[in-house]
Amino acid sequence: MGMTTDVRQLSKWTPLRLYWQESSAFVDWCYVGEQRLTDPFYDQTVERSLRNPCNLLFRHQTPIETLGQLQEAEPCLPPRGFIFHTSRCGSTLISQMLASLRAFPGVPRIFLYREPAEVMVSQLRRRGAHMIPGAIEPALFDMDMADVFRMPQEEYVARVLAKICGEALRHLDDEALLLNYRQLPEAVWSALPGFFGVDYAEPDLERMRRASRLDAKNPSLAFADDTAEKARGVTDAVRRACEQLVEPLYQKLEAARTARRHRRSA
Amino acid sequence: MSLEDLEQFQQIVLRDASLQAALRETADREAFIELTVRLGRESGCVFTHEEVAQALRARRRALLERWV
Repeated sequence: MGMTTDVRQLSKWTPLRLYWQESSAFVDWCYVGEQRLTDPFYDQTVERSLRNPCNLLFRHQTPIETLGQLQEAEPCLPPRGFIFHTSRCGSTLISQMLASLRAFPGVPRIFLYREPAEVMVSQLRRRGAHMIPGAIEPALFDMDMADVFRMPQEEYVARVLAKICGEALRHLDDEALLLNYRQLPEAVWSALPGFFGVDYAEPDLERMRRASRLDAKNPSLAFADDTAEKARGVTDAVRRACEQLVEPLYQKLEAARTARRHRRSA
Repeated sequence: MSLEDLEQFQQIVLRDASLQAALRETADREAFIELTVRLGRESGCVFTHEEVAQALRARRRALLERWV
């Protein structure tokens, strides 16, 4: 299919995916029109858009360089912040709460994490793509393809989680805030305002509190704390893999988080 | 030739917001395919109902492939 070369045609379209063709990278675009991106996950927005057969059949495809050309022609807002996370730790909640304020000042980074055994229990029940052996290049997690299909699933999940936590520790700097799941939701209106450099008025705080009472991944449901239920789901295999591979890194994250908290209050 | 005509029509549509709007209004798959064939013919591009249906299936399959 021919490539789109006029960036003016990309108004109301957003990037859908990157793909490779003969060693070059290209962008597949999705028409979103005027709809706001309020779904818990972007792929839900994309899926809804692509149910319209026109959006499925007629899609712009451009060289990756078009992204730079588009930015020059129509500069967009710079990113205000990034939320990195271990998964199943409230990152969707934070995104929904922040989106409710349209508050994206500055570009600081949050690394959000949770008790690793709870993350493992959740992932073993319902895997994210990165937790499916072979779905993502194993070398990214310091493994090879033979390893990932040989090892018990608990070990694979623990190794992926350990890699994420290890990278978070390696890239810690003054621009990063460490946040534990158990600090949510209150940390969003107690720790984040100062970190992002914003003031939240009372109506804003109330909107965030309302958003926090809903299930972030399924806003039609009320939020239910599943910490105890996750703890009951920790098997011996999960416990062993977690203690051997992830717990030491989790403790380092907690120590770093505590040390930073003490520095801020000094 | 007709698959090439479909690709040519895809480019015509992507350059024409009014054609996009007309096609986007038709969410029903069968009605959309019929409209696509008709508008394609009016633009000088000739392809069949089945070719459009195949293109839709191919597009859906391609999206199920791994993301980069």
